[in-house]
Amino acid sequence: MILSNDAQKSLTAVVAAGVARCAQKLGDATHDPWRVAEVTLSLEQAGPFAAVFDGVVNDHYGSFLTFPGGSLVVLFAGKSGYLVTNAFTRDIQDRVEGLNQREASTLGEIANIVLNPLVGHLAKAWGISLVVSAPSTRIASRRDHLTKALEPYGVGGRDGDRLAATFFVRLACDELFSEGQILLFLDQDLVAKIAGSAAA
Amino acid sequence: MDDSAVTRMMIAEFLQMGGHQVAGEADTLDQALAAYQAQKPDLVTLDLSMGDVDGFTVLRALREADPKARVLIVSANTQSEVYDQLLQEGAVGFIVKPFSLADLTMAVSKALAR
Repeated sequence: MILSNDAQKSLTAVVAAGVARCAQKLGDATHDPWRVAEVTLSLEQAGPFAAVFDGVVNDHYGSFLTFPGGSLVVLFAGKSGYLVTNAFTRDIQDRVEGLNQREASTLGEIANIVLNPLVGHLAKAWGISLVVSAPSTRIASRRDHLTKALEPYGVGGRDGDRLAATFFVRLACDELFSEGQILLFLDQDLVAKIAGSAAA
Repeated sequence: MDDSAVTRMMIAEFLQMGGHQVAGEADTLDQALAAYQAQKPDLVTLDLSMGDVDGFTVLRALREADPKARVLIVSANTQSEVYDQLLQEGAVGFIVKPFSLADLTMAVSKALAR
């Protein structure tokens, strides 16, 4: 799919505004401020991100959520995942045993909290209804997470693929010494719909 | 009712800190209905986005089982039109995740006063 420079700028501006809400929510959840360190758009089958992800073999927590026309992945490295989980559950840690053994499910809930405002913002900006699924979280390398995320779009298949745009977002919290990444995938039908309604 | 175990724990702990008693927990529709019929709680907290069922379905089922059921929505959803619809369908209030002890205590007090 070919998107004009103006269309790419417009799409990026909408996503960047939504991502700012993610940072705000992550700050609310962890009681420390988070900032958006990077928002990058790729129209090339996530190629640039695949190259970046190839170089990192450490396991990451990856939470996957879908919505009609797209999907999202939130990634935290092991140490960041631990610190974010601890911060999120700090009010009940003294009262509940074994919370630190629930990192994966807790990070799934954090992804749910962080991504809902983004999806809500996209829905409002694009004038469509978007309902996000419940998260599923697993531990794997970033490359494996990316491979799994691309599967539904047929990337690498003989018949081409349905992926139109991928956003790579990096969030950081200096106080928590933590970083997280968000991948947002948009399929061709949704991007065509957005571009069509913007042009109308 | 919430499919996130850690959120169920947070709600339960916060409610107990506020002097309330937790009658039960559920993460499926069947569990929620069975627990509600068995315990008849003063208030149900309900998530919207769960693995096998959405909150609208659970709200309708609970209100069908007991038209006086008080259901407080606790969700990460930020779309105001969704909450408008839930309130129209009988929810007594809502709070958006993440929530603090004070947020939950205030929302529960308001819901129980209705």
